[in-house]
Amino acid sequence: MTTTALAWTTLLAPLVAAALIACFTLKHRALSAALAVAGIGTGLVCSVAMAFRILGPGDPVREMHEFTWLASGGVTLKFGVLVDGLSVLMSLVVTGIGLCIFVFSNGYMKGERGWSRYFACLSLFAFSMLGIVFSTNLVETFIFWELVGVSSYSLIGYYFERPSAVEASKKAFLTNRIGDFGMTCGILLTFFTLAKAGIPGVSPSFTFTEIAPVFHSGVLKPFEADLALGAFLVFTGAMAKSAQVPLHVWLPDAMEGPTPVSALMHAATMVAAGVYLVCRTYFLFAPYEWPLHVVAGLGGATAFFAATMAFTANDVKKVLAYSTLSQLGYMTMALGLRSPSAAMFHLTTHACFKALLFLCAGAVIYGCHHEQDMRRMGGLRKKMPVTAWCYGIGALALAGIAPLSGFWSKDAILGAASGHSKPLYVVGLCVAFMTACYMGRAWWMTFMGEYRGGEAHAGDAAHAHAAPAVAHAAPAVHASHDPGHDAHGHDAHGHDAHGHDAHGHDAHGHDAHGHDAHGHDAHGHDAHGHDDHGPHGAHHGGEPQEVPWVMRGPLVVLAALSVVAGLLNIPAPLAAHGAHLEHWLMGTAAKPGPSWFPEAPPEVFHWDVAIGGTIAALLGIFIAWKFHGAAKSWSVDRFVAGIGPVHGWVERKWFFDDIYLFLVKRVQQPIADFCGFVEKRFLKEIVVDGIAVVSHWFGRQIRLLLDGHLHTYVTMALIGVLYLFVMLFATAHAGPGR
Amino acid sequence: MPPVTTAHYVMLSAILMGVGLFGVVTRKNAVIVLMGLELMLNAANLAFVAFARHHGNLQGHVFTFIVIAVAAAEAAVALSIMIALYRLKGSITLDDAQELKG
Repeated sequence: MTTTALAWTTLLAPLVAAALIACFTLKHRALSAALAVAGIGTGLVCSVAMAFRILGPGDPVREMHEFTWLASGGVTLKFGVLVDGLSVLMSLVVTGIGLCIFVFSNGYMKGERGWSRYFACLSLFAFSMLGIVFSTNLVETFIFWELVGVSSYSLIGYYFERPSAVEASKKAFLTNRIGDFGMTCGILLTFFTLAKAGIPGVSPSFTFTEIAPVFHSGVLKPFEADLALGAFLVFTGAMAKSAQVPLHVWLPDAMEGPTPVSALMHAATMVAAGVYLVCRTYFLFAPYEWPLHVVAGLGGATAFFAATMAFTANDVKKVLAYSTLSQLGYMTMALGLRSPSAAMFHLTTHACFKALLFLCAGAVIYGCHHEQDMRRMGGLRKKMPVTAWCYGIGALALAGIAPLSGFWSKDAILGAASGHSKPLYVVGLCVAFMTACYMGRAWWMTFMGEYRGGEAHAGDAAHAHAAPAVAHAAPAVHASHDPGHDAHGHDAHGHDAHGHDAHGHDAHGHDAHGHDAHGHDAHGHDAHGHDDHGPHGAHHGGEPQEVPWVMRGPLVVLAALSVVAGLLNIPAPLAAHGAHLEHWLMGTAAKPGPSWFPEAPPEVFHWDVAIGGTIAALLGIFIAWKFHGAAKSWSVDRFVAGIGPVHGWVERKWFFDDIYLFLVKRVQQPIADFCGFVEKRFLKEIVVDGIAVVSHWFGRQIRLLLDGHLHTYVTMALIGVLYLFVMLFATAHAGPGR
Repeated sequence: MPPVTTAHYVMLSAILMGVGLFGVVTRKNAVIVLMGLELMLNAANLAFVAFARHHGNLQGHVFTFIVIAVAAAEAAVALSIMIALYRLKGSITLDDAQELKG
């Protein structure tokens, strides 16, 4: 097989799997799962094969296969696959992490309704993402970009019986549409500017490999203003997908999807797309200054704000969601700091450990019977040792502790920041500190101490007033399962065993949140079909249990990857031949075309940066231990009191949702009302209705002429004929020329 | 006796037309109205033939034959409408048929 054929196979295998599932195996659970896993597995095998061909010992090569999709009026749209270091790396991430998540889903989704739909959507998601990865041109990228949006919509809204999930999927979709609109404008602006430029020998094109050399060559200098704006607009697309401030609001809400979906979205597919897009179209950004400054600034802001928000989250998944936001901010910052290879490196390592962390969270949620609130966890280290170990590795990697993978990639970004922009370097260090701190908090709350799940939650009432908005994410999960599984006979096991849920919710005053609709206060766990979770029915006590091997396996694999992924790009003084990943991504001067990223000095290891980052991380862990460790020597409440209003700001998520709400209610709504007024009062009642009224009136008058007498009609016809005669004579005699 | 010229034919045609029109406009009986219509048609036929003779070609004859054929069909249709009208109303006075007035 040629390299491009391998790429086509990688791309199409998940699509074929999705199509087969949708068409034939909706009723066969095992077959659906097997097809999905086989699809992504094929992709992984082909990606590895491609990696061996592309990333051989010599210079990396770039291969492309493209065919014309449609041609019209001088614009040719093409479709194809582009295989180089960048796309192969990303494809390895998507298929490798994807495979782990697909396998994990086999355990996590056990007994869920819509199992086959889930796997079909998952495969479609992987296909869409791989489409972006292998895309050869901007239009193809945009098509798959939209497909990613659609498939994420279907997966975030997987539990479509639950209003909050529907809201979340809508929010994700609409927020992404804002970015997509910007991206469309950016693509068109770039294309038409190229067309307008009319540089000899350069035909306007969407294909990356054709336009990249033009941008690199510098002949487009006179069109800098338009092209820089185009680059920024393309970035707005990335901003929405990769959840950068201010378009990040959809991401925390997207936790409504099943946990493996969150893992997939946060590691390999959705949010990685934005960073990948900017890397792929880096030639658009590289020649200009201000778009990259905006990118770096937004990245830093996202990293910082999201890290603070992670402290107030009590949902085991939400912490990770904010952490993803923050790490995406890191990547975007690296992009803005002209260090795309560092961004891709962090993307790769982050994909490993964030997928790991999410799957661990999924395992915890599964083991704790769909409990998501960390305040009702604790002590799980003894009950779920494998999960705890894996989570620990993931958390340490995320915190950036040497020699785990996160250390190397974070170090690369901090190194780039220290070289380019001191303020961003400080922000980066702060974020490193906060990352370690909130991950420590999550670790101690979830895995250390004593299990708090079974207690009546007297203590929670105190917390409840602080975070009413966050806490009700947990009960909503229970609503996801269908009623009517009593037939399984699990009621006999006495679901009072799960009664802690019900206690907890009452204590939180969830009735006020309208969860009555789900029958929550009725202790009605049988009504929620909780019993459908096969193994859950087996243990009665509500004690957390280690998850089955189908879920533990992927965790262990991902944990191993999280440890070693840093080896990809260990910089110069420490490794013999310098940073491999960077070498692959830079793509040297191999044919066709010049290197993908602008020339930059090779990355080297800075001891000061590494020590600074490590100190920040260790300090963060230490402080987390002080607050949340066994001794609890420092009190969170006193700290919260100490920082005063800041805590409230963080808890309100820095008012982003409020700002959007304000914009929608106070700005957009009046405009809409005004337009509605104009439309209703002026356009409808005056223009449209006015024409109708006048016509009607004339009709009524003219109607009277027709009195039903044949003679009247004949007379009128006669008058008409006479008139015609008169006119004929008049013109015949008046017009001299006739 | 002066020779019969085209002008004579045309004048006869005009007179026929006038008579027919008078009948159509003034009479209430549908049959009389139909007769007036036929007179008008034949006035036109006469004019066609007269002008054809005047110009020495056959185009007028062609029109005349078409008009005769159409007039035959028209008479058949008109008479059947009158029969239907008579069955419906018991008379063929045109003033009785004015359901479609505005």
